[in-house]
Amino acid sequence: MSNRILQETVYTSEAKLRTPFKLLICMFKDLISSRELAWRLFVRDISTKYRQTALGYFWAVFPPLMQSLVFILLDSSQMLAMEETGIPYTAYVIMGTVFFGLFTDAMNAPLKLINASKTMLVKINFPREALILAAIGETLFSFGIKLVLLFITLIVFRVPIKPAGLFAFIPLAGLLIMGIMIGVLLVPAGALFHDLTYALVLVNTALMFSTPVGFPPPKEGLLSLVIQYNPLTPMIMAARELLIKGTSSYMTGMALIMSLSLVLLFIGWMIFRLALPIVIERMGG
Amino acid sequence: MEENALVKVEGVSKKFCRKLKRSLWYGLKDLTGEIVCLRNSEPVLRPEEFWSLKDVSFAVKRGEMLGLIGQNGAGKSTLLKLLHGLINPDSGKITMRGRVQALIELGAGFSPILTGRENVYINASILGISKKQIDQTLPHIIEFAGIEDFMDTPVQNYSSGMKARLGFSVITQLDPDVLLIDEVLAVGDTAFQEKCMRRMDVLRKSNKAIIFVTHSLYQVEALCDKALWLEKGRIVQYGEASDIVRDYLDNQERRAMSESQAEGVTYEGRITTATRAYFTAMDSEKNTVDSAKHGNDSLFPKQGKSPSPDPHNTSDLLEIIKVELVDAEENVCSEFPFLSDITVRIYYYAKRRIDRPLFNLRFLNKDRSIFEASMLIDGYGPDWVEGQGMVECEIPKLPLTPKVYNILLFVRSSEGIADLTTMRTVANFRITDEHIEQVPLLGPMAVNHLRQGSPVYIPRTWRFYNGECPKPIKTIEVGYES
Repeated sequence: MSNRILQETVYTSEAKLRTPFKLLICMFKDLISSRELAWRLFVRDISTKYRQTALGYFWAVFPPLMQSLVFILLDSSQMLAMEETGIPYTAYVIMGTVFFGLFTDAMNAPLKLINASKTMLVKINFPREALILAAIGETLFSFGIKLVLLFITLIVFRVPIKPAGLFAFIPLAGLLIMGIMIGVLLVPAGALFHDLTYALVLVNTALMFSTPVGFPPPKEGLLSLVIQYNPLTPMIMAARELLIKGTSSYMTGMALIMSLSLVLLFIGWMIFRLALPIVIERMGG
Repeated sequence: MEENALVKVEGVSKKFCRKLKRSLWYGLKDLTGEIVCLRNSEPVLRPEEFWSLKDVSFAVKRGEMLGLIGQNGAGKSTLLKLLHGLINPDSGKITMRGRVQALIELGAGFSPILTGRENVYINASILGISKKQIDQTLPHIIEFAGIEDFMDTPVQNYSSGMKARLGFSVITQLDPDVLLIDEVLAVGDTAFQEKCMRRMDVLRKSNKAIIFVTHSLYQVEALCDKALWLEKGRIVQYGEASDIVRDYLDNQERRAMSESQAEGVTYEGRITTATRAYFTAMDSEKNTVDSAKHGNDSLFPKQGKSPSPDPHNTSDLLEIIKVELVDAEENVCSEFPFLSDITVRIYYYAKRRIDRPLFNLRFLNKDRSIFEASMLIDGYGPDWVEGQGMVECEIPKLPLTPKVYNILLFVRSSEGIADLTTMRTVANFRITDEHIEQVPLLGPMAVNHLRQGSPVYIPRTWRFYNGECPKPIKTIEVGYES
């Protein structure tokens, strides 16, 4: 037993980025070894979330429904002077809020899970990647429930879906990646200062109105400028157009932003790893 | 030896910040430094920072168990976190070889509304135990926890003891090369603790390197090979467990001793109705004497020029000037070797003639009375005392174990009811473990038990009989060697 080769782990004060190759190996090794734990945490959080509720999964579709209702009310009183959407407005709005919900869920999940796992983090050394994987899993799960709502809506309003609509999964993956990327980047500062948790609630609302969620992108005005440069715009629009029309005019923007998000996600992951020991030290416990 | 070490700690230091806001700010700065590779590794304290650990070095080999001891805030838990890789050292180097697991948090990741069974899998997964292994050992886990009937009940309905039992049972499945244990054994009822200790014993013999934080010095003496004594982040001593435990206890007692000396009088005097009656009687006698000029009063003769006693200040009557403890060589001291002769000397001043005062010395350890040298039992001293004098009480071979003791003094009137002095602590002393070898110390917790157990040591004889055999198969006589 003692003659097997033992793995050696060394801890020093030296910045880990000085040995980037070693850091990369560790990152991927931990990512692979974290799968089982990620699955457990995912199952735990999903069952905990819905077991002690009377309405159960309804709570996953409640936020997009409420947001849609706001837009529908605004529209019905002619407060939004908007262009023709091509499909019944209700279906258009629900599609927007469901897609947007995927992004905000993804953005909020990592920090939420890190803060909820505080006691575990300060006591046990498990692959931290598991928390991010679990966050992705939870986001996808709640998106799955929202998709059911979306399909029911589409059927009710008789919106035809093209086979090419399947490609909408690409911009949707983009939304997920973007959300997780931002969420992971927020973890170090957010775990130290809770200001970010409070700020995120406001950011969600502000983002919703500067993204074409409940209306098509306007052609003029200050808002049109904001929406034009909002990286979420091409994602949401591409997803919606692909689903309805089978093609989209936002493909280039989408591809660009998606690749940028992937790069940033990787950097965020690296920072996340470097940050955790420092964050844990300040978390106490 | 260094080659076999599974845990090697070389000059490790770690700083912490006292203030939360500043600490968070430093955290952000450290993080930036880490990302741009400019984290200054030179160990300098910033404002409000202190060394939680400073220049700590040691090594633990396979098959060795190291106990970490020290008061709260000594840096034990910080050290464990560093070894576990949860936080990075600020300087120095830690090398861990093999699989490292920690028994630090019981029931990590338990979700209150999930059942015990579900939580076992979650907890195990967090600790790095695979599902396959848990599938195989689930019956053992349930059996060890002893809560078969509650496995499908939500954990929120468990008592805290049950939660801890379940958590510990999962932890028993760990099989690492290096095991870190932080004071988790003090959970559950006595029977479960017993189980845990047995499990610890098995672990100890299973050829791992174990590092063990505890406040129970008994556990350190009984289980650990070596011990590391930390204080304010620095190593005070590092070596054989029993030696360290002995020195640590000695230090604690010394501290307790100086604290009790600083406190001074710990017992308030109490004026009983009996005392009041006594003084009133004396006053009326005096008045009678004064007015009638009688000279044949036995209690207060004419020449007794006594000031009118204040019933609220009983020490007026008999003043205790000082109390001394002396050893066999007549040296005044406050530390005595085990089983030595001790003499208590009480210097007093009686402001007027007092008939047959009864002196009482009560010996206490941690406010618990152990024995009394009392004239209330032994009987009278001189017929009367007046003016300056001294009473001596010699106790040969005081059979008290190494600890800190207090002596409480009170003096009663001849019929034993009224207090003539305020009851108060007049001295404290310490029995050291010098000459402790006069009694056999062969048990596994001898040092601890003698120090922390009961305060009196009495010679005894053990006899063992087998079956119906009328003759003992073994006789152990335990007593003092003279």
